[in-house]
Amino acid sequence: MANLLNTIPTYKPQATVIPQNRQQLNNLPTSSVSNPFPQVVTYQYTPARPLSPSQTTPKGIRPKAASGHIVKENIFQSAGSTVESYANYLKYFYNAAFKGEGTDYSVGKINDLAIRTGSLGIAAVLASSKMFPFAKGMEFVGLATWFASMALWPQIIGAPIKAKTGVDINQKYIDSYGRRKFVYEDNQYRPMDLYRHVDKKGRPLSEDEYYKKYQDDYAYLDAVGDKLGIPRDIKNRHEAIMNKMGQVAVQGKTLWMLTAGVMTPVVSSIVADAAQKPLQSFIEAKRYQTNENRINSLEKILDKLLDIKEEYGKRNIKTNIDEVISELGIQIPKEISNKFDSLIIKDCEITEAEYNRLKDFVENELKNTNFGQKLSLAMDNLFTKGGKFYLPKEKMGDVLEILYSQEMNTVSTPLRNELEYLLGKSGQLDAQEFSRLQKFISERFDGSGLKEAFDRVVATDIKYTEPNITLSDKLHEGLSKTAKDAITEALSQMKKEFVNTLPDSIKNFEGLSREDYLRIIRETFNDGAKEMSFGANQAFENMTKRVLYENLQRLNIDPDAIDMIAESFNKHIKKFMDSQRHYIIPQRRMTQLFRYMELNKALIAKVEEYQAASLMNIAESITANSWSKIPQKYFEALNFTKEELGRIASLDIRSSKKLIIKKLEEVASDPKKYEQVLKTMSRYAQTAISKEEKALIKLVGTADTPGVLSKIKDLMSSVGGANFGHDMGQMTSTFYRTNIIDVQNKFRNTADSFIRPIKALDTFKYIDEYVKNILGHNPQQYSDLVYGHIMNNIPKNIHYHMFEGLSYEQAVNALKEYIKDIVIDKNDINNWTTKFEHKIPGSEKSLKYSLEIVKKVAGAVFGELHDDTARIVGENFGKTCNINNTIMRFRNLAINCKLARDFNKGGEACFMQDTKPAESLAREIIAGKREKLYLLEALIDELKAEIPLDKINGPKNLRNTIKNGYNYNIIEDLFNKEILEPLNCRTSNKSIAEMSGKNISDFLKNAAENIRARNKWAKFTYGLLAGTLALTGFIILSMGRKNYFNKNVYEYKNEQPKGNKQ
Amino acid sequence: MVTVSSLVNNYVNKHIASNNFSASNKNAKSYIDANFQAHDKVNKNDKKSKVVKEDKLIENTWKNRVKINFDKATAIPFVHFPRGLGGAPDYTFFEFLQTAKLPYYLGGPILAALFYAGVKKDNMLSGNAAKNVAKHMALGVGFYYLGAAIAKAIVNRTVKTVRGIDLNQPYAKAVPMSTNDTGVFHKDVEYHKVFESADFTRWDLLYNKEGKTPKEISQTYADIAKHYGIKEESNDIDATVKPLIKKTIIMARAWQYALTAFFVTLGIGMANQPVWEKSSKSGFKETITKGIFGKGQKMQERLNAAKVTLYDYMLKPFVKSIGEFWKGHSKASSIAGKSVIIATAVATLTSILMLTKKTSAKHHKIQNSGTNNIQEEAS
Repeated sequence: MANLLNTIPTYKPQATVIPQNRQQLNNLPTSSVSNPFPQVVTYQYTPARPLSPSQTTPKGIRPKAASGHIVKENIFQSAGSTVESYANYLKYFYNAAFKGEGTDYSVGKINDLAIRTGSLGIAAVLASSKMFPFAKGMEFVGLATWFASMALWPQIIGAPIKAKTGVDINQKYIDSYGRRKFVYEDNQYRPMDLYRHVDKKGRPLSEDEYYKKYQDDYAYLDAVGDKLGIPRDIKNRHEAIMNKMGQVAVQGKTLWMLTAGVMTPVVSSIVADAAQKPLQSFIEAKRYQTNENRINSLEKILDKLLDIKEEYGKRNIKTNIDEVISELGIQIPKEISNKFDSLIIKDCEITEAEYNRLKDFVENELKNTNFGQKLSLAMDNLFTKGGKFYLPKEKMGDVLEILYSQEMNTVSTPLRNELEYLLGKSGQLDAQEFSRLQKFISERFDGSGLKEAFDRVVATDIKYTEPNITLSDKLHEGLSKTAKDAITEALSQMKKEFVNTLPDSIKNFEGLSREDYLRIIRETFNDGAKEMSFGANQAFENMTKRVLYENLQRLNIDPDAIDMIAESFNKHIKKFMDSQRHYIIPQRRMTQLFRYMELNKALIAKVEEYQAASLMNIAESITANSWSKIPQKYFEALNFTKEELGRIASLDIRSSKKLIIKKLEEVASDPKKYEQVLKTMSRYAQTAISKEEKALIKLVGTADTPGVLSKIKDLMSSVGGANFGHDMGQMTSTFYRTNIIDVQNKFRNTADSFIRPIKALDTFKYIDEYVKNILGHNPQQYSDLVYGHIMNNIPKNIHYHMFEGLSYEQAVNALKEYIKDIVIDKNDINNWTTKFEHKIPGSEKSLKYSLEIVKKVAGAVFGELHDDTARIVGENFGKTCNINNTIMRFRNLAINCKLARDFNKGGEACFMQDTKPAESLAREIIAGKREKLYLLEALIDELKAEIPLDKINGPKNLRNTIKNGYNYNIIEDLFNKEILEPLNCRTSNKSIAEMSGKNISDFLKNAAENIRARNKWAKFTYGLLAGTLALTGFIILSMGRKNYFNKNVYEYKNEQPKGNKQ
Repeated sequence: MVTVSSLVNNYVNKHIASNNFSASNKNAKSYIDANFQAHDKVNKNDKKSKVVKEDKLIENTWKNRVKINFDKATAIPFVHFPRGLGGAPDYTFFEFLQTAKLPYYLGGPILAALFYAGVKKDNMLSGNAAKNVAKHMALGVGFYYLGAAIAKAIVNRTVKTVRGIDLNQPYAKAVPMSTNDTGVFHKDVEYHKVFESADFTRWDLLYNKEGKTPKEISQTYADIAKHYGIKEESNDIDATVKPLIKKTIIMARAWQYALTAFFVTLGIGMANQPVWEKSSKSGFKETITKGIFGKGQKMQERLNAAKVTLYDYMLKPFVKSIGEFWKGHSKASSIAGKSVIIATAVATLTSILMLTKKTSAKHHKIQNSGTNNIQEEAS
């Protein structure tokens, strides 16, 4: 047996003959051994040739010629063949999973496919759990970078290895079966044959091409061997080279496996991080553009509906709801409108006479009209029940829609009224149906902003009928149940012992008997009538009570028990009677109202979509993106040290505040630094603010061109007013006004957040000046303020009472500290008492007595920028800062410090001497306000964006009034009404923290936290990267060298071969 | 008697599978200096020596699995990596695959760690959010590997039940010492699985070499054949059942990979659900350290803590997370959740159905005289 086995040809490789020349090579195999004994039969022996299965295949079967070759592709070809491979892998999967056909190779490739598919699935699942496009996108970016770095890393380590040793560890080849494989995939299988006709640069050539260039085979191997330092004059050099290449390849691939686990996530993380910024900008811009286009097209339609012409004149605003809805292209969700229809429309019950009348309409007056056809269709579906005619509600929807449409304008009014009467019956709802309708409405419109207005309209429009009692089995059932419920309830309120004394007929009361029921009917219904006559309800109710009462009396029980039962019954019969009422739903009006509400909802949704992309506080809006970047830049601009950064990020807010104050003081004291920091900050602030401002102008508009939201307000209040009365118009207007103010506030708050640090630096720099303005420039002035001056007849100022006992220096220091504190924390002025108390312990405090100081402090904190500062940040931006600060000041001075009072400050002298003639008084007021006038003008110019169209004339007049010099009362009135009201600058109970942007310590602390988180990430990631790269470099340097495993022992050609030592 | 065909197969396969085809290997010993002796541990009378003289099956018991896995895992850093980095001439493809496990198990946790490093942890609010992110990430990594394991287990269990083939059947492969011309990082045994290759399945190991009659020798094949629904008893039962087994191996591998894709997606989806945010890590830790292993606890309390650990901290949120994944929190996530869960269920059922129906002998023409096709594909 063993012999037999030995004769079977195997793929056992035989000695390689290194060809001396081509001729000899072609003459192989060398089977023709000369035979010294010709008389003996000659056996021929053909040894299996190495690497060529074709030589060992049993005879009679034609082998395929070996056709493996090295792959040489550029990056695009490589990508192409990758795609092609995946298509093949799908085929492999199908064959393997459903037919069980395949090989180790093909099944292995299924794994590759599965890993990619699984990862795509994971990315899709994670993306679907994200709410916003950028977050969604990042999941796929993460996936892509993961696979990219997985594919890229072997190429990256491959390049230096190739440069150093000439071995390309990523070299691929295509085998005879057309399968793509790595040359060095299996260390124990070295397909040297592949390199037979490869030029020195590693390009595979055709045989002819090759021999034109080279004499011998394996030119490539020789070249690599030289690079690897394999001696030239050794035996079997190609094998030695191939083995050395094998060594390098094993080393390279092991290095790859050693580092891939770290480098794949690290590189992926770094690339994804780098991709984040451009991707975010791209998505932000794209998203904003889409939304802007949408809102622009909405605006165009609004212009058309509002009939906005070039010149301001009388406009003809479209108020027909259906027209507005269709013009705006608003789709009320079908299932919602169907649900609503089904709730207000029901099977319409009509009498025979009415039926005949309708039939008459269809056949005569309405003949050939759309409506007539619809109605006739509805009547075809008419069904009868209990001798009555019904129009089915499924068909009534269509009919009613036309009935209330413009189409019916051609039909005469009396005819239309009659139709509405006949068909409108389907709009009468019973108590249950009505509550179902109410539930639907509140589910749909609660929180939509107009629900209250809706309820008001409904309350006046919906009427309910007298209890509608008709003779039927239901009536007996209902009365019986009412009586039973009443008695059960009464018994439950009595003591148990007492209940036990009552007769069984009460304890187990079954309900109203048939006789009693008939008696009630006989007494209250007309003979033969099925419906109760008008006004007989009360009689019916009384009769029922009486019947029950008499029954109880007959039982001879305790009068107290009778009273209790009777009382309970009164309650229940009332409920029963109420439940018999019908609600008359003015269908057309209700439908219109419903559509109006839906219109409102759709418009708000459209506006909100735009807001979400621009200035809403929601992830990935432009605002949110600014917030995620700019605070860090501010932080960096302030030049905090690394240590300070760590402390601010990790310490509590009090301690970090101290550090921040220290830093601001430091910057403020160095003019060069001050200018530099301010310039950087204002540049970033402008970028952040300008984007939001754009959105604000789009939504709210300017004086001359109102924005979308203002237009919607105009349109909707007109539509509401025209269709549902003045109340509705007013409430709609208020609702949208609130929205507009919200948008304005939102913008102001953001602007404030970014401007605040700038103003804070300004305050810190000029704090001496600000404090001197409050406390006096020298101890004398201070003393005059606090204690008065008898000699100069200056009375003591009660506003300064809390400084009594403090020296000038002490007072200055305390106030400085307080102002710095309030700047950083942006405290509500209500904190004045507690905060200032803290600075000046033991003094008596009350806001009432310190109003003047509070105003001045507010001026220092929220006042205009110092001229020098304004110059540094630029005139325009300085103006923006001042306006924002002023608005914030009004908000800050929430308690009885209105703008107008502040405004009048310059004219205080005039107040005391109103004996002066009116004209000169006015002039003086104006003179006193001159410095404020520029602010006011700027405000008005700037606030065009904030003031709705219908309010803009007020400020315009006001400006003129002030310029012309008018009575200050008028000015104050106008200012209050025209500027304060629309600006929401009135007194408010909200805390300033809620009404303004972020305070500086939070702002900077948050930035520090973000920077630190990022630094930590960078340290970790780049640390891993550097460490792994160093290790990689070190290992690559040692590659291909003589080592413990590879002794580099060669047998030289001039030696006699002994064994096969290499 | 050993059938000729099986012996031929064995011989051929063994050669192809092990280490030939190298241009440089004139024969297995061509590299070795005639005087060179490997530093063979056996020579040092090492009692712990793991030298395996011939390839042999290892019983697939829990104990053996632990031992094999431990040996394999420790060999990765202590044998395969040093040998690979040195470029050992006798480095095998198996060793390469072993080293590839490092990036597989390292990549996920490192990615999670990198992600966590970039999360803001300084203040309480963001710290809390960071904790939840970390929890989802850690669970995600865990569930990824769990999902992959479950996918494999489903297929293995199915094949074992319906066809009586243990795809995980391990065997120890004797590595010729003679090729190991250095003796360092001494390598003598590799643990493989009998059915790991469809092309070079180790059929030889399944024969009972002590057997005296063909029936005894091919007993394992006969047992497997029963599972395939082959009733007739023939001398050639092994030849009959081998193509079917091959088919089963291919199908099973394909479905293992495919199901892995589904189950890892499902796992990540489940790990991402809010239910996991409810239980705290410290609570979990305390329950285990103080509840189960705490000092002076009563047995009843220990059991109760164990129940809480298993049920409230693991099973309950696990089941709930499927529900939450199904429901989703938005339209897109609800669609994604539903489709992943349904697709996973459908794929699982299809795989079981295919493995049950398509591999059975009923669907094949059985040739009693069937000779085995030798796949002549170079690997």
